[in-house]
Amino acid sequence: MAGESLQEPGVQPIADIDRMIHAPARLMILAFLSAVDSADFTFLLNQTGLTRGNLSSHLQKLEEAGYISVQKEFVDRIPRTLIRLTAEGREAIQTYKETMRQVVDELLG
Amino acid sequence: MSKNDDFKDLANRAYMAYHQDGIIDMMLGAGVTGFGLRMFFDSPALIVLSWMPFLFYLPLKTHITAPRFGYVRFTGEEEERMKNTRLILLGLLVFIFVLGLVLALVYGRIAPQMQAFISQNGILLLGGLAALLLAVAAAVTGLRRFYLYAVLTLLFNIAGVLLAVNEGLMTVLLGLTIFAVGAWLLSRFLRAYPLPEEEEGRGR
Repeated sequence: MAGESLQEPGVQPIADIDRMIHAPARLMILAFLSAVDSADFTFLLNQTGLTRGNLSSHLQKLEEAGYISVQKEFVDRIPRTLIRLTAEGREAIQTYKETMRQVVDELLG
Repeated sequence: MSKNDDFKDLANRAYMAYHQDGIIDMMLGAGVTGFGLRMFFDSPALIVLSWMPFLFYLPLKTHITAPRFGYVRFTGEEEERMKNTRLILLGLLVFIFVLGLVLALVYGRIAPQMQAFISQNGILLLGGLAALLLAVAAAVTGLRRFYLYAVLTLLFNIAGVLLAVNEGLMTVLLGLTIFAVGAWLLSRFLRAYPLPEEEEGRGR
């Protein structure tokens, strides 16, 4: 495999990995959001174990990428900032999972 | 395989953690205690104590659980599980009500042996039905401690009959036991999820 470029078929899936999702913190956030309908900041904070600043910065990046939407809604007359996956985000994470499967398949033969 | 299958363990974990606050247990314990007091004092007016605690369930979830644990809307299996739980509990309540009504209507018309059987074993039948209800709730919600409550219900019920202790008193003791488990779970939840220093969303 020495000297094989990322353009060659064997390792091509690695080059296709979405770097926006591949970062562990963002992957964790997207994984939780893909498992629920929507969640607020505190829920993600508790579940991911990230710091407030870290979570906030990753959410901002994901929102800019169009993978999540952040909306203020009234739930039981209490204002909440709800975060959910967009259709684009859902598709991106699905593609990411398929790419990762291909990568593992390629690497492990 | 659905798109979310790979992450269903995450959703399940979050769902379970959301219900580890002990609030549902405390409501159940208070309701059972109320029902026991109604039996002990033989006062129909006290029946209100058996269902009144459940009115506090949603306000407590909103003011204790959500600010600490965070707010989450479940989807798929978890949402389905919540809906099924509510439907089954409602169905069982309607079933018990209709059963009671039918028994009351036909009681005078059934054979004396059957009347005697119901008179002698009514408390055991009621305990068995309550235990069944709790076991079904455990199976549907996935909250395994409800199996323990089902077993406790049977044990308290049988012990009350064998030791000839007032059934109302035994029901009160059962309710207080369940309430104590709920209070312990709540204290653990409050330690695990302290109130965030900043309000929700301010970190964004």
